[in-house]
Amino acid sequence: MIDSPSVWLWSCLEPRLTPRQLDVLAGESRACVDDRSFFRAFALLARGTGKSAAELAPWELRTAARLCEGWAPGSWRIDELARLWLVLAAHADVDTLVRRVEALFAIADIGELVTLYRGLPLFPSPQRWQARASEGARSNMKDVFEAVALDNPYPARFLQDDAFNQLVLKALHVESPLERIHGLRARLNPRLTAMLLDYVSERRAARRPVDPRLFHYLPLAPASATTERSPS
Amino acid sequence: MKYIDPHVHMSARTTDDYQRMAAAGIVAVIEPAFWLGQPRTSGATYRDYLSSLVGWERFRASQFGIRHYCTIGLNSKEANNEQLAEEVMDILPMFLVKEGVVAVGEIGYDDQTPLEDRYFRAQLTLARELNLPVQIHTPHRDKKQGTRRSMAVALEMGLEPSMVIVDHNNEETVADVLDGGFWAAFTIYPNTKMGNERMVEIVRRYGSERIIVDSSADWGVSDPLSVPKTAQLMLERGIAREQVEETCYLNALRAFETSGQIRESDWLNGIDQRESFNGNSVLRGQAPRVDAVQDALVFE
Repeated sequence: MIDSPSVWLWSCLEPRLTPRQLDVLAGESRACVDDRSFFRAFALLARGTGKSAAELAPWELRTAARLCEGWAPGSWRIDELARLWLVLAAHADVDTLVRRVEALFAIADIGELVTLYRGLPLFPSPQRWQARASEGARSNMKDVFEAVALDNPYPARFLQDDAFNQLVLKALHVESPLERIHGLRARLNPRLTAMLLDYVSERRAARRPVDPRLFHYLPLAPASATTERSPS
Repeated sequence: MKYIDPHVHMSARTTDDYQRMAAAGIVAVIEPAFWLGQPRTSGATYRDYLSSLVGWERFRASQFGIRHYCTIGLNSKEANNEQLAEEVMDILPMFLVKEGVVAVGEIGYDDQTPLEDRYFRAQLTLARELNLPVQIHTPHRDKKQGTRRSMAVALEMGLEPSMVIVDHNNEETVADVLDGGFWAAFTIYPNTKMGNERMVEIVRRYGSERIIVDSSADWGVSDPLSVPKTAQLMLERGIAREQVEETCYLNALRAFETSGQIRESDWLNGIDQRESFNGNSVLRGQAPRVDAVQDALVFE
């Protein structure tokens, strides 16, 4: 029975890695007895597993979405599955996991940052990662920003309006596709709408193009003729 | 022709430099960890610097279609601050296993003090344990002796010469380095190191085997186009094309690829260094353009 992200991750790794690779991975999770052994194992895992696309099957993705609503790991690579499995499997104690992963963020390379931010919704006590998620959403490394902002249920579920609104505006500025921000429509709020309308005005004043997809998230113009003529 | 600049401190350079480098044919750069002019006073600032070499600077280079790699180490100048040095030594093993770290470097001697010697040796041991190449900074002062000593200590600590890139060579040091079986890198840097006319003569005399050209461009008066410019000068002055390619591209790849962290396919298969493989990499609304932008009067 696949009843947790960690079990799901392992179930995806099993058919994609050799028995030997799986043994090594399982061994690593038991050997993470201190911070350093965890940091080292996390970094080196990608060399053992390779970095090819996991190419998850539709049923695997459905299970993922059942375990964590909005979770869409369709573009993940094998090393990302393995690294996040290690984070979850090596830490029975939530406080240790939070402390170690926070320390890892401070020394992570780009690939590690992307993986960790993608994993936020899977970590225990997800509300404890709000500040971290906001930090990721401020990143100027586009990959890192998109790891938080796109195909990730964390922002819509756990970020406060102010942080969520900033994330949406940043996505526009760096030309990330809004339709991949999970839960955007449900999280629309008056302040965000005002910010988006200001953004449109600013772009038009500068004679810069506005991504037409943005209008899917804006209210229809109040003076629109069709609205006024609609039967009451 | 494609080029690699295997020693350039891009953190100190501007986006104009990246654009010009890409336009000139530089496909990959290696950024050695070094000092920043201003001495650091804590291990935490050093940690953030190392993080930027495996994070932000890699990303920045990728926006211009240039692959960025780095070497990680405690430089000789800052090795003289013992407290800082201890803190840095403590974090080095964590950074040496990050993606794109192709060697321990740049390490070696500056004033040739006992502290420099202690941390040079400790880092050579790290390199041996991790089976990583070493990029050696040879001193500006007492260079000839400093270079010989660097090589002797590397051998004493059990490194194979083929795993050691000795940098900042000149006419006085090159024979010793090549005879010892080490890689001999030359920094084309105005006034203080090599000029490129001298470099042409070095290649004419010693050939291209195990000889590497780099810029070491940093926060001083230096030129991030040193490698392509030197290649051009070599061609103009009758050096064979194969030798130019070896000294300005292939040898750097061969010297560092034993790390397993740099492969020619990294740039032959496209220039997108992004980790995820969806979408395209752009500068905030600007495509990374390697032409025209810098001299245009009008920009949008």
